[in-house]
Amino acid sequence: MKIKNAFQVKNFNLYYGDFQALKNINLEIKENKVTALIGPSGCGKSTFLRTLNRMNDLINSVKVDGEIIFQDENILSKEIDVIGLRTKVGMVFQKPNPFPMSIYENIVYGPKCKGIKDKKYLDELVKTSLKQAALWEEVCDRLHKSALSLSGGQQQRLCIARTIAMKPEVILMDEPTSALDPIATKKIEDLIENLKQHFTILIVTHSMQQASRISDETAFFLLGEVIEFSKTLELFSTPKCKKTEDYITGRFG
Amino acid sequence: MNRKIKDGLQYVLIHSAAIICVITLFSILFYILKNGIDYISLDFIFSTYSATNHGGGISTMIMGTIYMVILTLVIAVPISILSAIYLNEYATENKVSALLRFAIDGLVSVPSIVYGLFGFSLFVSTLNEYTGGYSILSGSLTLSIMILPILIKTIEEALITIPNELREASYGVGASKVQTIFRIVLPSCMPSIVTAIILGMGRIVSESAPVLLTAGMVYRMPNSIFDSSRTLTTHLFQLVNEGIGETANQQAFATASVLIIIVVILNVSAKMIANKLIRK
Repeated sequence: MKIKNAFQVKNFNLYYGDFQALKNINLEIKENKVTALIGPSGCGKSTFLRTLNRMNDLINSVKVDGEIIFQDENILSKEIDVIGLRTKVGMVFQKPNPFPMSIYENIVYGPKCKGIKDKKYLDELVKTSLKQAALWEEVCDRLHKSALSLSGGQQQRLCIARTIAMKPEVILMDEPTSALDPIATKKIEDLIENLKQHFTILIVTHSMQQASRISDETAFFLLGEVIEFSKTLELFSTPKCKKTEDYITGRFG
Repeated sequence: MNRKIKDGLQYVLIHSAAIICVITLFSILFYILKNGIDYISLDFIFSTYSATNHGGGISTMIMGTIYMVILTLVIAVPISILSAIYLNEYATENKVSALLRFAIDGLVSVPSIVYGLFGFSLFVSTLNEYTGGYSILSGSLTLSIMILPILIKTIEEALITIPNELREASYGVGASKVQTIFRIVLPSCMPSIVTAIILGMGRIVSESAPVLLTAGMVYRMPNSIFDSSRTLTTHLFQLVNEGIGETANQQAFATASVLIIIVVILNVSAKMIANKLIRK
């Protein structure tokens, strides 16, 4: 079976005002795989991730050129339905950011914004999303309690459940475990392993151990450029580029 | 030794400042309530004022005040919420918002009698046909303009405290900008908005100069917002100013007591509602 591409990135450039943050990026992100984006702080990996669901639209000074093809459409084009894109390409952020409402409300917020009102459907959706995010057992008896009463790790899994509830094709994760302790991190990593059967996952991470544990493919970013992009196993065992080798062996970054 | 004396001196100074402040406040409250409370009765609150014997109750002034508060809030609250949203969510830094911010900062410190003069010439004189001249509507429009800057400022400050992560989370699940603002951002700063509104109510209740110039002094029960009406403060002004009738002084203190009680209730409920919303 031929593996399809979720995203096809061609000659992509991004500028913050006069500063070019991403330079001539060419990548093929494969469907139903976990792709890790690694690199030192400020290399543009988060910025790149946020381009894939047009989150950078919120920053006024950002300009882009090139092409990013998702489902036969260039998502950088002005005509694209950004809201529709964001329901297909969900996002989990660095800091757990549940809405200040109940656990239940957090999950149905997205579907409700889309106009879904059927109570039975929503109830079922809450259950399946929480189960898929491995949180159901812990919260099933307090769905109507505030989401802010959960622990950090639980909040982050709730944010994942909230994203899953939109039934996206892709989930973008921007350092989802950097604010969590090792045990909560382990739970999220196990979860990612399960989720990749249903979703394409892109994850930005500072931890090379994490990238090597959970990802199928890895892209190494440095100063706005993709230095190396290959199968995770190859990238970490036999890096082709000297800069990659220096980074993964801890000589800088 | 020297340091010990300095320390002790500071202690005395700071504590006496605080005590002076508390004593002043409570003596005013005590003085007014002591002189007024005896005259307050159910009859005083629920009967109408009579100019023939310069006595009677304050029911029409209470109604006038309530009308004024409600109408002013109906006009000012939506405008101020939308303006604050414009400033913080749409035009954070452009010429319009810079101008608006400049205007707000300037308007906060304009004396209320100046608003009264403005309201008088615009609503009472020029727009006489539409506002009924001296009327609750003219008064409310004037008071709305007066409290707008404070409301906008307080609400904008509340919007600023909402972390961007929350907005991003909302956009991230495919919510539109309007949905994000009205379903996430505004509800998150509801406690501050409610507090701002109730403190605004306090200002409306306690304002007298602009009301005198725009709502007039008719003490009959108002039938509509196009009628002139006396509020508690303008009634108090009239009682002290003219002092006609044997009990004018007692009536004035009693009216002042009612005013103080209303303002205290408003402030306490502002705190209680805000606390309740925050805990939720």
